[in-house]
Amino acid sequence: MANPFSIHKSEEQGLVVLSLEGYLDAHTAPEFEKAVETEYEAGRVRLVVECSRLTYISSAGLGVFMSFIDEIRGAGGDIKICGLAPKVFQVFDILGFSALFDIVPDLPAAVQRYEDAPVKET
Amino acid sequence: MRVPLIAGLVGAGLLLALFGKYWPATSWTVLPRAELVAKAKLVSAHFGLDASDWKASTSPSIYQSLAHYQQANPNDANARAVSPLSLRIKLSKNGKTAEVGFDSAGLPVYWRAPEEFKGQQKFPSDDAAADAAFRYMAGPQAANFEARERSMGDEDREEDYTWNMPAPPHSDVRQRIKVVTQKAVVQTAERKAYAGSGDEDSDTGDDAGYWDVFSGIYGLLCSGGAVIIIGIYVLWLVRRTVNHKFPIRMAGVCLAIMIARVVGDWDFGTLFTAFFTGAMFVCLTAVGRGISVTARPKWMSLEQTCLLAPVGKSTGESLLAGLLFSPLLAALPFLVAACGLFHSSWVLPHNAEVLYSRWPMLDTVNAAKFAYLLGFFGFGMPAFARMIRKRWLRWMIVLPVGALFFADMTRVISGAIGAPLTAGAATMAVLWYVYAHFDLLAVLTVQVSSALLLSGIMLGQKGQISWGIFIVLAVLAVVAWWCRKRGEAVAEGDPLAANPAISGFRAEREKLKAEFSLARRAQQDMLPQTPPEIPGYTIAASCTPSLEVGGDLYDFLKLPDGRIGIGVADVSGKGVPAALYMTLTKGLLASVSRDSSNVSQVVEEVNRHLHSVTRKKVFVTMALGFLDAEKRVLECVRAGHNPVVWRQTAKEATTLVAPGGLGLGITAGRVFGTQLKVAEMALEDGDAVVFYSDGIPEAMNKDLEQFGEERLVSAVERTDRMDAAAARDSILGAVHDFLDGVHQQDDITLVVLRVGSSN
Repeated sequence: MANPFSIHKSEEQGLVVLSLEGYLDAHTAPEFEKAVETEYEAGRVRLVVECSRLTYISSAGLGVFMSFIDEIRGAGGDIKICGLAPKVFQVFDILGFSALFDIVPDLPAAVQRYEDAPVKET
Repeated sequence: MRVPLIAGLVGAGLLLALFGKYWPATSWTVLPRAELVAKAKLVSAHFGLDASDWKASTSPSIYQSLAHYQQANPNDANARAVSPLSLRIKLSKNGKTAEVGFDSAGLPVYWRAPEEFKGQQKFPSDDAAADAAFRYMAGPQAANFEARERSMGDEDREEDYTWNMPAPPHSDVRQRIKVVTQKAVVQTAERKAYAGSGDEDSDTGDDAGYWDVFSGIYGLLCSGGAVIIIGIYVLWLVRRTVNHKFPIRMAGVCLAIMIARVVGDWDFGTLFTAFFTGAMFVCLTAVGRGISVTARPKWMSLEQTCLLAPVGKSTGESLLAGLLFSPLLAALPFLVAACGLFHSSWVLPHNAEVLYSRWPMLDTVNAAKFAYLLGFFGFGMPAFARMIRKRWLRWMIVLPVGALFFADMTRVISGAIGAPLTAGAATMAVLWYVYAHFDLLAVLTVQVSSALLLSGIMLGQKGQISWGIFIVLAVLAVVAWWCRKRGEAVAEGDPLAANPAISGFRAEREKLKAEFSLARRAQQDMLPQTPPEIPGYTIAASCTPSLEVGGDLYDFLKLPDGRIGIGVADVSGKGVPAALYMTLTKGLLASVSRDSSNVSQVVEEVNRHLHSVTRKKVFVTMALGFLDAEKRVLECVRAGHNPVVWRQTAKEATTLVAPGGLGLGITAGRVFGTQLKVAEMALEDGDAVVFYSDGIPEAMNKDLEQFGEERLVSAVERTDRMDAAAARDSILGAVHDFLDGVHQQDDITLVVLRVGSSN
């Protein structure tokens, strides 16, 4: 099975938006990890991960969110997640990610959330 | 490949030089099978049975002591006049059978009428009928026989007649013709030759010798072993430990042939044997690969071939080495016969019957005794190596046993038992070399291709060309070449294989594979082998990694307050890293739960430890329940794990119990504790609580559809009134059916707790 995965990067009002598409699993997670790492190292820490075209996420994919969140928040940024399909949201939710991350319906909501609360309080 | 090439050339040379001299049948006449079948119908017509539209099947046999006598006394003209090779033709129609036998010169030597054969009464008396039959069987030699002896049969209406021809001067070959008549109709007529001390009263075509004792013992050992192994395999199939479509299809073909034989009365014996052997062989391979851990690399390419996926360089090399060594293996018995140590030796390959075969290729492969080789090299030797550590002692025992074992396969016929033993030892040496430098596939290839080679030469010597044999050998060669080529192409793309500094890459990889299967076993052994016995409850668990090792686990805990803990956990990711954290998690859970009976406290403690070592990229999810068996209360927490399915049978309700909770190792912050909630479940009689890992709901079939929670819930609902073990099997069966042959992409773990007595 070929599980296509791609990342599209754009900017929205000073935020970096990473749009994920396809399958985020153990094979494709390194690509996503690299993309987040690149942004973090360039000092762009206000990230939105837009997932409306993400069809599947495995534990390895969730691991990427986890591994950077502390550094990014330490640098005054955050990762806001938006556009999750119900099945994908369920995976985030089961793991308890809704308590750790700001998960919002869509991109405008994510932009708004950065204005309301630049860093999620946990 | 230089050694196999040299061995092949030497073997071919030896075979060319020696075959004609030490194969007695060079002087035998072999008539075409079809011609003999036509003649058999004429013979049957002669005895008054019109069998023109009857079906014919043939079975050749060789009278060994006569053949041996001929070889030892080449100047005995009397002995040359009779033939040790005979062909029996069974004519059958509507359940009735008649038999006609011919010697290798095409003269009739046997006639047996069907049961209760009335026939056409051509003669006025039994005596006249018997005399006519005698003249027919004796032919021009009739004058050499003594006067007939007559005796009454067991029943008074049957008459027995015997004519003897004593051995002439300077010869030791006697002949006898026996005729049985009933109401002046010939029921059986038989002409037989006896050489040396051949048993006159033996009615069988083959004389019993040490061969039969050898093959009897091995046959018994092998068939016993094979039955046990097939049993294990079927058990694995049923318990879904193995998932092989190919053998099941093969068994299906066997069954179809068997039904065709019974229902249609079709003679598919050879075809059936071929498929049966094949199916048995696949079972042996699957089980062998599974149980013989240390020798497992030697099974690898054989297993791939059995699954019809013979790719990779090692497969190609094994096939090629097998093909190249085969002339040498075929030549060995002839070499022993020619070496001068054993007087008047000759070789009777055990597949000599191929001369009269309908399907020479299939018959040769069927007679190739695969099971012997698999038993010896695949199971026997590795087991032996584990039992006896001292190398010299091992060889002291293996050498004579092996020589005896392989003596049966070589069939050097000689007065001295040393000849077959020497040939057996030589055969074992060659096979051992092939096994040690290649693998089991090579050993089996050398065996089957040497048998095919001999069959081809034997047939060719008689002017018959078996295309089947040529085609099989050619296909083997092409497959070998292709696999090797493909394997090289694969290896070229591999930086490790291309690096000349890493020599023995293949050996290294196979060693790693063996290590992995040890790791798998170690990991499986780490899980509780039997669930705890709790009065009033049954528990069953199962954990199947998707790769060799996995990140799932289940465990049962004995808590300080007397309660029982049931836990299922899943480490993120797969394979070795996940497996390492799995063992860590299991250890943490066991040690923390020794000091605390508080379910949240246990989970928080495990989280704290995990977070300090996992460097954030790895996390663990866990569902943990603490059961008060007497009060029937289950306290459950869910640390980022899939919900627990609670089936309340009496209420006919099913709930996904999902109290809040974060995955373990994600954060050590206060948020973990604030998120963690405990669900309290009051269990009733008949209730089931099912813990599982995401491998079940996320199991994906070939349409990329997930098993999902709905299917899981209904699978659980179908298990009402089953005990835990049956419920577990039923739920796993549902997942398995859903996957329909697609390999599970993730580890699958399942624990079922059922309230209710265990019987």
